Amino acid sequence: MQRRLVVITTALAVLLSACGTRKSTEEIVTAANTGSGGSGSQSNAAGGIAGSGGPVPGGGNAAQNKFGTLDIPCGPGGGEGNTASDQGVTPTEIKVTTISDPGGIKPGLNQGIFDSMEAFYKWCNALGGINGRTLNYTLRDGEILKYKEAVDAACVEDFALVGGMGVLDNLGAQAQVDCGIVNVVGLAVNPEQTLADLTYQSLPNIPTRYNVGPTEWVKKNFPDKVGKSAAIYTSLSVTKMQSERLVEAYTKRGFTFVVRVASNLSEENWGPIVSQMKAEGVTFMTLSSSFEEIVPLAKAMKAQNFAPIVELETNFYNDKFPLAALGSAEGFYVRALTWPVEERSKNPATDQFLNIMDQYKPGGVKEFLGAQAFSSGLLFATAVKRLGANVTRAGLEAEIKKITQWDGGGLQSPANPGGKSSSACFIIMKVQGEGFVREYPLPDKDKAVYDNPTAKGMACPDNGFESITGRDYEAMGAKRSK
Amino acid sequence: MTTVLGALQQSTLLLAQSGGVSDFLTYTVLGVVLAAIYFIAASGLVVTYTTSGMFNFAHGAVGMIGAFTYWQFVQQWGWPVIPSLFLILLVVAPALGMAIERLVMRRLVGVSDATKMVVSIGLLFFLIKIAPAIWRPKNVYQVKPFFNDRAAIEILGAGVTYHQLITIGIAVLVGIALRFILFGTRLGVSMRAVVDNRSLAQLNGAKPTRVAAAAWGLGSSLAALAGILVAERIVFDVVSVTFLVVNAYAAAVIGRLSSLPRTLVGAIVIGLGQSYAQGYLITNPEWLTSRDIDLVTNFRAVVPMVILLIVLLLVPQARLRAAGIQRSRESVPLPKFRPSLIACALLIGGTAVVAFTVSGANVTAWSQGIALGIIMLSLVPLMGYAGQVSLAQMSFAGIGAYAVATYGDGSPVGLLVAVVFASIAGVAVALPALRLQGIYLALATLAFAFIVEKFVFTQPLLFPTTAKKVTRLNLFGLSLDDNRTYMVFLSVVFAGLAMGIVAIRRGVFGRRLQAMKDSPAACATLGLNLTRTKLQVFGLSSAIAGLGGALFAGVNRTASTADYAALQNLPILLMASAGGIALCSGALMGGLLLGSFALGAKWVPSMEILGVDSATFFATLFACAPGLIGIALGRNPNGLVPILGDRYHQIIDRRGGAGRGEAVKGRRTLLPIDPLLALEDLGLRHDFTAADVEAIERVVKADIPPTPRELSHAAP
Repeated sequence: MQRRLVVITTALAVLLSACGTRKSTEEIVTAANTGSGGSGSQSNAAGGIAGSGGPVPGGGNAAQNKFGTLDIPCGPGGGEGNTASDQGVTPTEIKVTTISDPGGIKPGLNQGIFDSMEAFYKWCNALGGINGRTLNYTLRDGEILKYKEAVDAACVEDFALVGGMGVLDNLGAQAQVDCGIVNVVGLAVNPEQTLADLTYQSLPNIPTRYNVGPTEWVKKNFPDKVGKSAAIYTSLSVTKMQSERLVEAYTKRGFTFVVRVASNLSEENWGPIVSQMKAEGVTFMTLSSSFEEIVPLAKAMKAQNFAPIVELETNFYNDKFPLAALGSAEGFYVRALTWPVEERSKNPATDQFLNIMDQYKPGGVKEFLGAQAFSSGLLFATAVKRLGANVTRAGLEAEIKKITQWDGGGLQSPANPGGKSSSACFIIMKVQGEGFVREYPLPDKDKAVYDNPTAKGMACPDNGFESITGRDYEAMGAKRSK
Repeated sequence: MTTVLGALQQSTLLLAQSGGVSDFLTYTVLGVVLAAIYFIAASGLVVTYTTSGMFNFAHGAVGMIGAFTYWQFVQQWGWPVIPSLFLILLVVAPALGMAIERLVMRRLVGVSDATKMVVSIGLLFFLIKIAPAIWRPKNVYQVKPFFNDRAAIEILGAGVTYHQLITIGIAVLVGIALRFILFGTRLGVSMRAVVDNRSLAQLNGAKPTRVAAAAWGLGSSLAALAGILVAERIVFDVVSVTFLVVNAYAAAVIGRLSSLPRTLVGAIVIGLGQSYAQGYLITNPEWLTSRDIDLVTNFRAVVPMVILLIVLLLVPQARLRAAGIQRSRESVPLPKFRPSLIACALLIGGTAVVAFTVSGANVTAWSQGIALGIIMLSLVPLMGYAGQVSLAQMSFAGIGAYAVATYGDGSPVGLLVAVVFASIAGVAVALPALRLQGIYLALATLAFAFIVEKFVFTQPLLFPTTAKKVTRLNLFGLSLDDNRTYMVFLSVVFAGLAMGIVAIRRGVFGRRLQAMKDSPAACATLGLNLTRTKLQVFGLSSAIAGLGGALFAGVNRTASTADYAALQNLPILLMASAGGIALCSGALMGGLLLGSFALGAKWVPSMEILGVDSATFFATLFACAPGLIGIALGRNPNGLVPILGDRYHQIIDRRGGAGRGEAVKGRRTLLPIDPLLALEDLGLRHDFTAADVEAIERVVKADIPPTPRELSHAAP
């Protein structure tokens, strides 16, 4: 009964959208998608799979063969002279793998990576593939701890690793280098992987550099708050290292940390930690962890009437966070490095990405990591497109190395994937109600910053990096044996 | 007196230096809030134990189901809070509890305490694995605290929310209400009477089945209440919310599983202990210079388990019920040498054939199965022969895996170190646990498993990134690098160990173990050194587990801590019991089944079942399978191998011309268990009066030694 209701409502919504404005279409479709909760089949029917004379895949701009500002690398034609030029490559297909961790000890973790990459492959194939080759993709579940097995399997079957992310990607970094598979990764996590040979990211996060734009922004706006800061982190090697980097960078920019505490995973007992921060008179706080951990911390802070300035790193930019916080995280600042989905109408690339998600992976998880993975997918496809008929691993690496300017058509802040250099651009978002709103730069108030030539709508300060020397990260990266 | 005062003065001084009395009071208030939740959870456990004689390991999982159901009603469907609470606490949770009693627990007649434990552990495992199929992990599970929009009240410097105040209020009410129900109502008295002496209570008109159903309903409702109240503290998932409730088990143990006031004390000890630890154990001691060791953070995570362990070791235990000679449906045949040898030869030959014919993925899965079988083999002498329940075999295996990853490098030294480390750990666990038995031993080993998982294996020094690379053995030039060769090697190791265990069983040591299982008291009387025997069997068992763990890590060439987490002990125990806990072949069967579950979902063709695709459906089914099998053990406590054996003999005998019934009768040497005394059949039904209650009380207090017949039927 309820299912039928959903189908009817969706049909109505589609009908309405045909004669409504674009904006209202978005609202209705979004409403239908969030409301239906998993009954994917109906949305599928509404979207229509391309290739069967249906609507043009990927929304308006695709007609001009553009994804945002980027020329779409996928399309019909090509394929003359294609050969089986390398492992996993035939004249008609390229076998690729995406790795993520949803089946591990934290079920559902980074499902958004799989969902957005599945949408990417289907979209690209529906457009006609790359130079006459379709992408034959496998989503390999690294289950957090079996990342190496996923890499090993891809090594012997596939051409490349594309758009993935493994929480413990350090486990497979050396295996990837040893077998010579190129990894155009969605997000590399550990230094072994970020600094590994053959690893390229659309938005590199190099552990030896830290984007201090948001740090400076906090200092400028709350100069009297940074003298007593607290850095909390979850007691895992990756979050611990992240916290070390953060504290080093912030300290170099004038912050003083009076509390540094580790918490346990799924910490349920935040009260005493909060009362310590209170006792120390902490006025600025940050946490290196995931949104599941900040929510109970925020609740405990609210209960203890403790309200410092809170600024969090980019992985907290997740729509589930304000929803789960139930008002306790009001006013927390989060940095975003991809264009905010809240402002999709102002950015064609984001709008197209979300439309492609709705069309090719209805009901899929949409998160910023997914957008980043999608951008890596585009990066890979662009490089493969340039290779033409002769697609090889060595050629792919050489081609990506040449790409030193990349913003995924506007999906993300501009970075240098080929030179493995991070982006200095950022946006500050603020938790408000059950979502995020832009805090900085604002189009009117911060017009000069907002309208910068590098990335319109983002802040891209000079001197936006701090070098990190706390550990010898360079030595950790997996390298080819000489 | 003066010294006490002096100590107090000194500690006050210390407090003042370390942040003052106000901090201490704040932590105390925050600890009391925790204690309230623990008390509610533990009281449910106590109610079930005192009224049905069963320690319900699945209590935490029932709490988890309660929390998720509440989320479903309130957060998902938007139902109002109060009616939802009533619906869950008065209908859903009691129904679940009664269903568990009716479908699972009631059938546990004439089985050993160990089997009862296995069944409730099976239930725990089943619920943990089935819940994610209903409540998909991709959602965010978070419930609103009661009166979320009201500001917290400050008590002694600690902000206490309305939700927490209500929690404390509910805890007080639960305490009073339980006291009244158990001692002031007829139902409560008959609940207690049934446990103390089922037949006598029945003789006086109590209806054990109805009483048990009420007890399980009540216990389950309390578990759900605790789950709902604790859920707001985290963004929860199945495992985390289950183990928040499991923390309360320690409080119930302090209450000796029977006394509510003591349970309250236990809950307060744990709540305060956790709160103080969180407040004071923040920085590592100064002498600790390595940043790869963290003694405080990880310790805070296991405070309830540490308290549980300390309590188990220090507080005198209440006498466990029915600790006399066990007579049950369970039988352990004495293994014979020649058939065992033949079986082992067949195993190696069969493995060799399989290894070089099936596909790569199958080789990995089956290899893991055999390695798991070796770990399960460690339970054969320990649990099968000596009757000691252990929920820590996978932790010993983890120690072995760590050893081989650290010291192995291809040489047999790695395996040797694995064996030594694991057996040292085994003896270290056994030494303080010597006087523990039954549930208490199981809980102590479970606490150990948690401490190993969350305090030891989380140290960056041991597992820098939660996993370590393992190099396979390179034996005198014979490389085991090839997966198929490695699989055959595993079967050889299994066969060797199995033959060793058969030899032990047939020797003096084996007879001693069996005797210790049958009656520790009798053994001691005959001059058997129980302490030494226990230590020996624990050392032996953990050595085997350590070796198995090292070999298991070799299959994937990775020792990852998640494989050796506390929860992983459950399928090991369940599947070993499923195969037949006292049989080497049972361990092999258990291991292979567990290994093959990982493959199972891949064999089925893709289609839609019950609204989900077949792969998801079967993945869930296979994930639940050890739990389901564990529950089914209540019916066939001897396990699969003996059943298959019986069937095989039936077929052989029928060929030989013997009738089916005769064949079975000829082989089963056990006496059948009599049905329980059926009062209704005797026409002794009459109403339950106050005089009966008194009579029962008198009998219970008089502590008349039970007759052997009663012992064999005693309920727990």
